[in-house]
Amino acid sequence: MDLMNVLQLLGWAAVGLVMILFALTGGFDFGAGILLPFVAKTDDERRVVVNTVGPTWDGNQVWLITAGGAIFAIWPRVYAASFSGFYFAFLLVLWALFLRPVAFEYRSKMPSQTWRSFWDWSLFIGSFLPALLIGVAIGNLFLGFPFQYDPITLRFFYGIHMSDTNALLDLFGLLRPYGLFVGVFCVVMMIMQGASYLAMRVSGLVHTRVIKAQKISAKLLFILFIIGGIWLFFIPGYQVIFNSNALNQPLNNLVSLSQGGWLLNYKNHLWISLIPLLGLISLLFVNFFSQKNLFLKAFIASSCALFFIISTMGFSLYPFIMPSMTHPEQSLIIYNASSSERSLIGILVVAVVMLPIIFFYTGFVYKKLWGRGEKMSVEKIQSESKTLY
Amino acid sequence: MLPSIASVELARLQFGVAASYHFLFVPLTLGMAWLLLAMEFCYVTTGKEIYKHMTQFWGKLFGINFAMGVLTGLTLEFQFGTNWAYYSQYVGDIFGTPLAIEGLVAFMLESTFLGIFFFGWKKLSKHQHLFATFCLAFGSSLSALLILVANGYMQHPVGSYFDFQTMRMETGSLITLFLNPIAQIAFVHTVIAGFTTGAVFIMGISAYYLLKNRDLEFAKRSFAIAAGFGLVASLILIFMGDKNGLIVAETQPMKLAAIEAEWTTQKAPANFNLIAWPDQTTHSNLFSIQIPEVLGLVVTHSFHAVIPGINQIEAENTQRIQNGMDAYGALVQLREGNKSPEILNLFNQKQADLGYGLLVKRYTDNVTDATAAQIHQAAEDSIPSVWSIFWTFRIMVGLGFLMALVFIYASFMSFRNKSIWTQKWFLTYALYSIPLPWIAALCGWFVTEHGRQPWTIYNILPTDLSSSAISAVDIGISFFMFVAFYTALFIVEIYLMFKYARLGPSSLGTGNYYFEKNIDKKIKNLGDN
Repeated sequence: MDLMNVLQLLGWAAVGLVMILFALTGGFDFGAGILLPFVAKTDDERRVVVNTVGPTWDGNQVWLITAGGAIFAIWPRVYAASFSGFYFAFLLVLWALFLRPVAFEYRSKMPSQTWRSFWDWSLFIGSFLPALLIGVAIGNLFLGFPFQYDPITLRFFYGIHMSDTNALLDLFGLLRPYGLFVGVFCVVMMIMQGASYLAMRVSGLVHTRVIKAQKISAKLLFILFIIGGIWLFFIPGYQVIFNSNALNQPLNNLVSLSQGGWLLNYKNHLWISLIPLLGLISLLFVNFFSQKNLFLKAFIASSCALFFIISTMGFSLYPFIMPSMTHPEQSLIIYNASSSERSLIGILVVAVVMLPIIFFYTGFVYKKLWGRGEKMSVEKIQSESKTLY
Repeated sequence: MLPSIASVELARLQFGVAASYHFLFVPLTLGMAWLLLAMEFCYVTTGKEIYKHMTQFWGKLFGINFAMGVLTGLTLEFQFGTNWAYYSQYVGDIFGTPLAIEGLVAFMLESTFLGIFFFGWKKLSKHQHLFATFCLAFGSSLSALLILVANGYMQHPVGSYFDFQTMRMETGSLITLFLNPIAQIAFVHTVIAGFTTGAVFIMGISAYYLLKNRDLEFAKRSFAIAAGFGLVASLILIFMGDKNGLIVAETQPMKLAAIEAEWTTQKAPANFNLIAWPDQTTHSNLFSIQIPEVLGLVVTHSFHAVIPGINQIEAENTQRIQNGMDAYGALVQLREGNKSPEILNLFNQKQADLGYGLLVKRYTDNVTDATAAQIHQAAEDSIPSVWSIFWTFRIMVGLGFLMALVFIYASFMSFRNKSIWTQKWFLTYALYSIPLPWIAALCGWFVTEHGRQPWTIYNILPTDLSSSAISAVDIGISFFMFVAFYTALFIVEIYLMFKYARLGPSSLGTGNYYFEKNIDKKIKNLGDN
């Protein structure tokens, strides 16, 4: 392994880290958005939920944008292939995301209940649909896609022909059982993270409902995670023989396909099995701490669970990013899809410098907002009605 | 094999609409953030509550606008991948870097401090809150810088080289990319245009309160800060616009010739077309009013520099297309595995013009077999649409001067110690000036981006080749959806903006302002917003 391969590996870790950071932070306000219509009934209760994530949703959502940017910069080919290949799936994510900023900012700017209820449901859709569809896309990574490249120009073609694709039909092609399963799985993940965050921050009736959601989702996730793993045994998985010069020969991977192939990484490197195991243990702790009313610890456990679960997905796929089922030798892996050495160094240096700074000022903001152990309550909403969302 | 022309055109239209739409919200965010900082600075130094109320009220309008800026900005990050996949993979290696850094460094800073700007008044000390507002303003300007570095690469690609093995532009030097002169100048021009927008906006709405004779103290102070800010900004803006012209003359002579509708090269210093009706088919102006011998002075600041006309550049482009065809022929050989020294040599010699060779791909997929007629057609394609660029440019410049006049007059009157608060005509003029900066900004972007045609990356990648392999029907459907969403959301945004602008500082619920003191029927309709 030379320097370039190390950089490619670090690039893979960086994309994974940004995705995990999105799931941890964006996760709780997407989760809060999904839970909103169900854990809060009256307008004041809804404002409790909205204002709990209100001051920080925007910063958290930037992790999603940064994830997109990181994929663009670190794996330009993956960015091009996924956004154009999953055309309508990604546009649906985008259109649903449209609803979030305006729902937060506009819902309480008019007194009408119909108006507010409309934006509450918009927030629900804007949180639910992206979580579901991003999950569906990730699930499909395990199944592979029909795509190929023109060998001379390296133009990307989705579908089985080298021609303009019918993107609307391709959307339905993504609705395969395992894809849908991972989609639902992601929604439950967001719900657990959202409930765990709200459990720390709110009081009153909303709190009671939120804890219930937290316990149910943690248990459900535990079961679904095991099912997802077992399911992989029955799915043909891809394996690739390492080629250090893959970047310059992007269409000539040596790829093989075998039943349960996605689990070979665990067989070859036993230590990786620790990651899903830690994920399962974390899920148990979410439930355990929630029973004991230790909500900060439950939130930390939930965050750990997400960290290990998403890492599990990454380690199972490694080194694949997007396998091609029609032309497996053209599959996108971390070694043929990456940027050049100078770009990778540039982006990684910026990340190493910036991440501690971001953690520092984000920590400052959270400390100022919640550091004195405040809870968001109906009473607080009523007393600061004009300044809150 | 290529995407159909219809799908490329629709993708272009979609991107143009999405980018223009985004830019309805960006300039206000850019400028207002610093104006909010100025107001809050007054609050922190003088301790007067009214400055706090100003920060909070204008902050409310800022928030309404910001939400739309966020969601329309998101679209653009998706657009490169969804509709311009070949572009993304051809230049993503270098172009993606500033975008990723923008998210991580700038947008993160801006967004994290946005929440605490709104909700942190009681939780932070005065100085801490001022710092949060600073981070918000600094983050938004930094964001503009990084985006314009990316855009600067499209206008004037520096810091990269083509690699035939990976079939893409690869990073040569990120420092060169970030120090791209066109990006630096465009950044200052854009941010200052944002300042002007913010100043016109606040001044116009303050003028409305003055005309309605309410919240006078609040309106006067807002008006004064905006006017001072606007005067400085609009003068710098004109200076930067001039600088921008100089750099375009240097890096994009075709765009400059189109802006000036200069078809044939004239003797220096050339005549300047003040007004003209350019005709693309005959390569001439059907009508024009000229100012003799000032064009050279205006665009190059020199009496001797010759400004090449469109016809001359087109002739040069024809030569470059022929070179580019040779380069493409060599490239295909290299891609097929024939890496003999002659081929490599030929490719290295001619690869600077590879992009021009790609211009004929629209007419013949093989490129190397293009006929003279096809080459001529491609050379014609290398001229952007002259009349639209000529006119949008003039609208932008005209509006820029018109806005500067407002600020100059306001400052002049206050300098002479004459009150402008009672000059109703001027206040009305200030109020109705509000749309001007937006029209100017959109015209400016039209000149920049439409004038870049037929390239997505100037001289390197033609627009025709840049798009995704998606059918025109699908791009049409997504376009329709974008328009539907944007229109609906825009109506909501404008409605709220008008509602809160009319309501004024009474919306803060402090009990100090007009509608709260004058109990009339209106207040009942306002509810507890």
